[in-house]
Amino acid sequence: MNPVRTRLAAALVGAGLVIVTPAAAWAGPRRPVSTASTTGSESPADSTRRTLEDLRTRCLAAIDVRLPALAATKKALSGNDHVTDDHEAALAADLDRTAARLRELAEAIKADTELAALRDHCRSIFEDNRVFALVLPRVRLVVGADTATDAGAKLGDIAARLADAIAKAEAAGRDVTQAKLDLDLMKAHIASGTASAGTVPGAVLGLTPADWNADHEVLTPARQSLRSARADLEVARDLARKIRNELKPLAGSLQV
Amino acid sequence: MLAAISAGTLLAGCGGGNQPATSSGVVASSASPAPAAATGAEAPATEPAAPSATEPAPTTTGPAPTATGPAPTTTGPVATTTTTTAAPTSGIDQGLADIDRALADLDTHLTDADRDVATPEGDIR
Repeated sequence: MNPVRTRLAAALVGAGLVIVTPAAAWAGPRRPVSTASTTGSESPADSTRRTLEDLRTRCLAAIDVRLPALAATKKALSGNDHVTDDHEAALAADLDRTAARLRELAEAIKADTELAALRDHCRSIFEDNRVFALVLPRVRLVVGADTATDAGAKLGDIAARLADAIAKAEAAGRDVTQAKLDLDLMKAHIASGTASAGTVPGAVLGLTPADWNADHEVLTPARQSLRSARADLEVARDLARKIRNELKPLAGSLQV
Repeated sequence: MLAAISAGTLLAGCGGGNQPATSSGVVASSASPAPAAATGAEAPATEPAAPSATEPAPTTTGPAPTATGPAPTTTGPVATTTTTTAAPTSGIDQGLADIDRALADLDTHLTDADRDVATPEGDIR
């Protein structure tokens, strides 16, 4: 299932769960649970059984959209060139643990005969895992941070080459005042961007679903840090290009 | 890039002072019949005649004649093409290209994370 379909399916399943059990507080604080009203000639037992089966179906469907999403993310993670080995191991372990919990829940849900127990298990899919709210965005943030750190290192290499080119241009009698200023600014942005990105993994790798339950904005600082890193690195990249263009007339001789 | 230019095209520029170039880029000798038709379906029998004795030794540099391809023509002196070597790819240019890709990747991760956080489907708040 492609990501869009997965997300749509997840949305529909989530909406369906809310419709069937409107009082089941999937994410927020627990609220009073109201039971569905019975209708017409249907006996209370039939109604309960139908409610139980409907809920079971929807809860299993909720697991069925999460497991492939976790698997796809793990596959993408293993193929990423930027993520560090340590981070990859930590993220993969989290993905594996989450998937294992969901598989256990699926078995429990299949075996449930009591509505209350089924509701608890269904609630656990969300409250104890937070696949879409925490687990998956955490992977993206850590991989993004490692990507930014990688880019910062590459920009550092470029800055060193530019410094060498500037020195040669200066030795050749060119005015490199602006290029030197730009290079200093570039280095400052690289340092700032790398530092911002470097805070992200440590800020999010230890978060638990309980942390997200307590504070739904728990990922916001990391997202802001990564955005800040991205902005710094972009400026540094633009400055590198500017310096390179300033030196370009001598590019052939300077081998920049 | 120059390597991609057909030899015929290169020769058009040095095959003789005022000889017209055919649409395929080869030079039509003054002793030659009309250039091959655009369809290129010309039979070998219509290939241009041998160059005159006053002309330098012809060198066939065009593509091998085929039943459907353009007819080969004789050309003037062998062209010595001086290929302009592209400026060596500098480490900086390569590095900047890497950075462009990394920033694009980073954008994707940020966008996906923002979307996840904004709409945690199923993980209803």
